Amino acid sequence: MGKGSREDYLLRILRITEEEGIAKTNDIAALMNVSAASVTEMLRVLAGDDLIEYRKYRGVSLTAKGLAQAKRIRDKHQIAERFLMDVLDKEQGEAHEEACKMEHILSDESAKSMCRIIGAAEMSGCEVCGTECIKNASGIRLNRMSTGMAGRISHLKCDDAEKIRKLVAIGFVPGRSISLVNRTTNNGPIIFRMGESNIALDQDLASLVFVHVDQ
Amino acid sequence: MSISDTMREMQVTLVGQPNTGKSSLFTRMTGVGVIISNYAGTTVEFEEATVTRDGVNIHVHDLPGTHSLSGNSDDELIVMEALTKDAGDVIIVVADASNIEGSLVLCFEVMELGLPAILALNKIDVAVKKFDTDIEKLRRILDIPVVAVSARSAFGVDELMDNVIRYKKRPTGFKVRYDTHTEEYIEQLIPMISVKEFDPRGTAVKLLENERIISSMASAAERENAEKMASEFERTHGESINVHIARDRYGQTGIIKNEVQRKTTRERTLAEKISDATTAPSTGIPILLAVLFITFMGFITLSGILEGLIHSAYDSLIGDSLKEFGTQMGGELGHAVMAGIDGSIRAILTLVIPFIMLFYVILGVLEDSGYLPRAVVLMDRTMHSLGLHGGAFIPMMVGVGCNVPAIMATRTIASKRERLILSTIIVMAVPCSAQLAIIMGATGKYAGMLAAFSIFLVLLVMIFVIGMLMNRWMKYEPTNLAMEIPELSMPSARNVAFKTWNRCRDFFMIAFPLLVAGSIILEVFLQYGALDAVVGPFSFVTVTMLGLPAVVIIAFIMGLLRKEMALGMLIILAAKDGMSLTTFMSPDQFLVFGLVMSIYIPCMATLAVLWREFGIRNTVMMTMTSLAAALLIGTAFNAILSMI
Repeated sequence: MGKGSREDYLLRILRITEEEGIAKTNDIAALMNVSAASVTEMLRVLAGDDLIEYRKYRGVSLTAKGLAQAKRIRDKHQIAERFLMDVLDKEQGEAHEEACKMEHILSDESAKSMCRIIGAAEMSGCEVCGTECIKNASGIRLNRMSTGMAGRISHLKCDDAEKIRKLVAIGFVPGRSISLVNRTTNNGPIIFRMGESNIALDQDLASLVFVHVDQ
Repeated sequence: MSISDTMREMQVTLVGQPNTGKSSLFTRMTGVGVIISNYAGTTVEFEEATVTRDGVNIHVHDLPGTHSLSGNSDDELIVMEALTKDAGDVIIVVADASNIEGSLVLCFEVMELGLPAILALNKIDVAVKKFDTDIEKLRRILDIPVVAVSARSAFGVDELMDNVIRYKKRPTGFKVRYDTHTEEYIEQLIPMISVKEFDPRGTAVKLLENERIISSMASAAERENAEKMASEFERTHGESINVHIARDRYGQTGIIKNEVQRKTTRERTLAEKISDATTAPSTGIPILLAVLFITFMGFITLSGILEGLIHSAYDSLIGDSLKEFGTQMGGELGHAVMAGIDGSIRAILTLVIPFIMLFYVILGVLEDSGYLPRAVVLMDRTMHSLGLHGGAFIPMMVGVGCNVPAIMATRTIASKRERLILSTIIVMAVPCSAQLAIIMGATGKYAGMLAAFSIFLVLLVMIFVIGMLMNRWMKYEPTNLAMEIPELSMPSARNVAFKTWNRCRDFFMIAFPLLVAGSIILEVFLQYGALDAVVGPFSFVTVTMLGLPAVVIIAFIMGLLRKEMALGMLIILAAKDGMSLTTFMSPDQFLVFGLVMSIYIPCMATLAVLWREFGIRNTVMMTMTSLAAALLIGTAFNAILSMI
């Protein structure tokens, strides 16, 4: 059995255990669309590698080692998917399919580089590089743009869901083109142009929106 | 069967993003005038009107402007609630044809909920200058009626009404496709949906978005499922499902816009260049100061000219004829009564037209030009020191007209705390047009412009003192400025005239009869020598503290009803003693009078609206504080002036 298949199992177990705490063999089988017997077989292999803890009749949970590995794969999936969408302009569905394959073969180094290009995602909790995310010059906060600069919104980042809602409602949505029209006063609101409208945002709100600046 | 039995009734609701011209369209459709301005948030209350066409009674409802149906802001909740209660037979989604993307997103949401939608592409006259729009293609894509209209020129309004009457509800073939995961969730949710008011697919999307009204209508199990899905989505995609859904919607609008609209010119118009200059760091503030300066100087100059004109016109046309007529009819008493009426007419004419009407004309021009939102942005930092944000500027400006709509306009500000600070400032320190008339028409005229300026200075200091004190005392709730900056446009004389008349009508209809009644009652008191009984008890305040003639208390009391009545009463009081205002009070007394009147207790109408918006406790506090402040500052000025 290949590395991809093993990692797929880890991901499924991660998804189930995050919700329910413990994954049952039958749940895994249902989710993977395979027989319970082949699940049991794979679980034995994973337990042998010290990635999961397997108790008969009770179910499985991830060990610390397994958890770290599963999360890393998921992070890579996210990075690959967003890279395909934001940088290569792929459709979401396509990007997702492709990212499902890339997650298994992407090296840590490449993932880090891709991450540097797209900038960190909202609430990603990404642990690929184990350090604070480095903002690349092409992925910056709106309030760091200068007059006349143009780009495309990549993501929004804020713990307050209501602020995200507000921004989304007035049109600050990933994927849209945006340019900076005017900085009004020192530290005052900034006027942006999206589509045909000019919108003023204060610095606080502007700092929550990230853009890829057109080179 | 009579005709009325065969009448068909239709309910039509207008929904649209702010400043797409919803209210103008409402006026065009119904012929009922509502106040329209070139910035977001003019409609804070529902408007409803009925129009009959082809034997159908069409009831049109105008809802507040809303950016989307999933933002959970106050306006959005109001609109969602109204749609939940009764969506009506047709929903007209009003879009700005020159800026369709945001409006299309709102239209998607309305369609997704299975509501009977017609898309009205408003401002088509503006759009044709920028785009070729293929209306037919848009109609085919969305699979709903689409009508190009211009509320400004009435173009297309008939066609829109015909579409409303002919409307037959049928499912649309259009829907926004979301990404595979979201679609999976929607599929799973649809079978459990119990909400009957809307289409199950739309309801499922709203549950995933955690829209407050629909979530509250769903069962706990539905909510839990949707919440679980949303959080799973966030974990696996590293992005909230709301953002993702919006991303797909805007993606769709982008595609549609490219299909149906082609840019015709790439050249920037002069208006756009001026527009940029109004907010640029180097020119924004100077332009703001210039606008304020020109507004102020224009007001002072024009009001002086107008007042002179009206005075001389009244003298030459009517003169003393009313009083003489009174003497002929009823001797001394008749003369006195007619003198009261004569004084009332003079007071209203010389107060309302030069000061109040003129202010509203200027405000109307500023509003319709679209300049005010630019002032908001430029004032944002300054307003922060008062615990407010730039958005407070518009209610303050409206407050120079009248406190009542100003307090209503504070509703556009999200936090309760800011609303209270702002309303207190408006009530205490922002002179309304009637107070402005007193400052300019009494103090300015009889004590000199310097005295009038010193009152403005005191009020300006008060704005900062009140703001800073309240900002310190009240618990902090951060709020943010995010507002659309409309394009600058040439104000329409018709709209400005309409707004001015609408806003001034009460001065003629209510204030004038009150003033006449007041003057007659005063006459009766005089006849029976009872004036001292009323005036006497207050003489400590009026004479000792403020150094004013004792009878001025009558003016103060009338000022409780309406502020402009105080000055009107003052004119009548002076006339009773056969004096002109010049001999009635000294310049210093006029300064104190103007000062006290500008700060002191809000008028009845303002009190009523304060009570409704903030409750009795806050209202009493504000009233007491302003009375105390007025007396303290008035007494202090009197003391200082009598020392010099």
